[in-house]
Amino acid sequence: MFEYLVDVVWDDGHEPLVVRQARNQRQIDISSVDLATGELRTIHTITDDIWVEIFPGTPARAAIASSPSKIEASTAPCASTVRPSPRPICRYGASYRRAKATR
Amino acid sequence: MPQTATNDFPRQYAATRRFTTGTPRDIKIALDGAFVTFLRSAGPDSATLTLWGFDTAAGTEHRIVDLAELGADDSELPAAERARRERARESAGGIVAYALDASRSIACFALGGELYVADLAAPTTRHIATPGGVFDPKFSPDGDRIAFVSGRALYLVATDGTTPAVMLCSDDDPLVSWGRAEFVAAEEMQRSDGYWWAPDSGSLIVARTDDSAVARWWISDPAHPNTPPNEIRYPAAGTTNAKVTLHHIKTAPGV
Repeated sequence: MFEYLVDVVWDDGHEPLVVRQARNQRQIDISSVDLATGELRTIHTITDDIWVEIFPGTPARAAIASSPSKIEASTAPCASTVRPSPRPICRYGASYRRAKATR
Repeated sequence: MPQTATNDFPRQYAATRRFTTGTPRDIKIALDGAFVTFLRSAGPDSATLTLWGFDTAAGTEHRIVDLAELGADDSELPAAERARRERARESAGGIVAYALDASRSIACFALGGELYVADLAAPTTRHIATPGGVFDPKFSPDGDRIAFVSGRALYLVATDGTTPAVMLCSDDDPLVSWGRAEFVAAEEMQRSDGYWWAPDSGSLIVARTDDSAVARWWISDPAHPNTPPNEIRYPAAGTTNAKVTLHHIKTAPGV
C-alpha cells in the first residue's frame, strides 16, 4: 500500500520516525521504528478523500512544554493539533481541510 | 524603431535570475544566536555563491570561503548533483548547499564534486580527499565524520581528514543506489535526503533505491542532434515506481 517514503525524522532520545504515503496519495502514516526488529508502530495516520498534502518540515517534535498556556499562545493557528512530546505534531489535518473548503 | 536599450527590464530580470542574485539564502543561525551563516553571490550580476558569516553582536559580516583561493572548478558536476539541481530548480553555481555540525562551528560542502570543510570562526577551508563526485555531504551530529554520496554508494570520511574515505553501503547492480532521494521523492515530495544520521552518531538510516522496474525514457537534446539521447529511468504517472527500502547501518568505531 505504501509506495512512497516521504521522510525520516530521527530526534535525540527517540526512535526514528518514518513517514510513508500510499500510492493513491490519500493516506500518510507516521510510524516509529523499532531498530532491533525493524518493526513499525504507526502513531498517526492522516487520510483525505482526495489527497493528503505533504508539508516538508513536518512531522516535528515539540519541545517539552514547561507552560502549556505559553505553547498555545505561540502556535495559535494550529493549537488544536499541538500535543506535548513525544507525540509528533502534524499540521496537515485541520488546516488543510480549511484551505480546501474555501476553494 | 528597434529597441536599443541594453539594460531594460527583461534583460535585468534574466541577468539577475528574477532579481534573486546577490540576496542571502540558506540562512542558518548559531545555537547562541551570535553568528549567522548564509550563501550569497558577489552581487546582482553574479550567480556564483559562496559562504558568508554574520556576527550579530558586532553587526559585521565576513566571507568564510574564498572560491578563487580554493581554485575549485565547478563546471564539471557529478550526475547526481546535476539531477538534484534540476529537481531543486537550482540555477546558481559555486557553493549552492552546505551542512553544519551540531555545534554549528564547522561547515561542509561539495564544490565541483570535491569535499571541503570550513571552520566558521577562523575562517579557514580545507580540502578532504575522497574518491570524487561528492554529493550531499552531511556531518555526524558529533562533527567527527562526514557522510557523502559518490556514484551509487554512501561513504564516510573523518572530518579531520586523517583517515581515508571508506565505502559504507554499495551494490554491484548498476540500477541500485544508496543514500540518494529517488526521482519521485525529489520532484514530488520535496525530499532531497537519502540518508539520516543517528543522534548518537553511531549509525545511519540509509535509503536503498532499486530502479530496475522503472520504465526507461530516452531524452534527446534538440540543440545537439549529433549526440545520442540520454537514457534515464523515469517513473511516469501510473507506471512502476522505484523500490525504496530503508536500512539501519551501524558504523564501526573510528571509521
